[in-house]
Amino acid sequence: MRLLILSGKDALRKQIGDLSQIEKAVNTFIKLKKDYETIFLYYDRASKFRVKKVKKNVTYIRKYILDIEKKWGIIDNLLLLGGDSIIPFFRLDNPCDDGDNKVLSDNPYASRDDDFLIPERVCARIPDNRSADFIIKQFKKFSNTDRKSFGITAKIWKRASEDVYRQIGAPQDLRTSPPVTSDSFKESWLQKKRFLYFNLHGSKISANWYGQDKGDYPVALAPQNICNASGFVASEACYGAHILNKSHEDAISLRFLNEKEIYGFCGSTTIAYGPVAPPSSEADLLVKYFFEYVKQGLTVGESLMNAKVDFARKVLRRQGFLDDDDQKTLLQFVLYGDPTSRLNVRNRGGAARD
Amino acid sequence: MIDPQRIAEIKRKISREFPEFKDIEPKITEKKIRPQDSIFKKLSLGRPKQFVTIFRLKFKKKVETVDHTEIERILIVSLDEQGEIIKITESR
Repeated sequence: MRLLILSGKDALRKQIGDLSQIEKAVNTFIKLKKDYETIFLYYDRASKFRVKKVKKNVTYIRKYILDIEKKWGIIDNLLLLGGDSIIPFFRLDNPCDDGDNKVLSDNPYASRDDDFLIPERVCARIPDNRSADFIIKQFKKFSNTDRKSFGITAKIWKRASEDVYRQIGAPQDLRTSPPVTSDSFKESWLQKKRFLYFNLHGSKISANWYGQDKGDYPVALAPQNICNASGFVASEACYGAHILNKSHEDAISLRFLNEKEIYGFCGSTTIAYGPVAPPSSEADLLVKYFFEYVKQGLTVGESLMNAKVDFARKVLRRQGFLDDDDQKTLLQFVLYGDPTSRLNVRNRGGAARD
Repeated sequence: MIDPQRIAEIKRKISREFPEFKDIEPKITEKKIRPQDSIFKKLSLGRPKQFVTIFRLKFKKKVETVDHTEIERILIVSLDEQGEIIKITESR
């Protein structure tokens, strides 16, 4: 299995400053990844593959990856090192008529052809959070051996969310907001867990995620509720993975990743959709499949890739076509963190890293 | 285009089951979906031969959270050519 870790040296240096500690952490990570043939490249620097270096432009970077693949061989796993200012998200046309002008997506980096809906390789990203320590932390995560899950949903989606949550826990343990609010939220709920699941409202401009009961929209989770959290996070919140011009102070996704025992985050960059009740569709279905694969012992990167493929197959079997919100779901969900993390759910020893 | 009586039925259903969208006039669109050849090919599935027509009733409403953040709520009812509901979807 090949793993390409890719970044832009000039842009990363501009964000972070001295890169020596990051490069050291990446090289240590590579040495520890004995199951992978791993290389770390800067797209704006010459490499041993003699592929022409490129500027910070999504199309050029994507072509650079394809050119490396021609020289090196099939790239199974791609890890983008840095946020939008280092390796930009693609701005794809939004299939839906909603408040998003474009869909921020990493899917094109995961595709070899021009059909970006269906990924062909694992693709994940380690955001930079403008901090070398933050990046280095992502390469040095240690998971615990706990087996429990935590989940919370807006009250109105309780039935739909239970259908997802049963993959990782007992549906009756799923909390709802209301009555839960950020004031009553206990930090311990997020501690010593393997999976953390959120089906809440999100906003592009707010740091918080919200519950709902009829016309009430309480704050269900605020960044300050996250302290010593552990496990893998999957969120269906609108803008749950939106990180442009954000930091761990005002983006829950980055706040989670700043925790030493959170080893990944899967969420949506834009307005996401889901059903009001079972059967699962859109974001609910994608996250449900993701959990299924992680439980089977696949890496989190493989799990998201397979979940997208299965999602498309299921929807095509169900209705014969991918409609606007199905397409948007496939494009908007991204993975943050080390894609080779694996939760050894089937083993009694609990969650563990490769 | 879809039967106006059917649209009225759906609006009543939405008012009943989703009171927050009561009195919201939906945007109604008709969409012809062409066979998605490249997706079917990529998934090694037999490709569909026909165009499919669907209708969508989109209800939009801006709401305010307890901390005064404005969120756009979207509810979409997708219908097949016969006017049967395929799915009801909400923004998260």
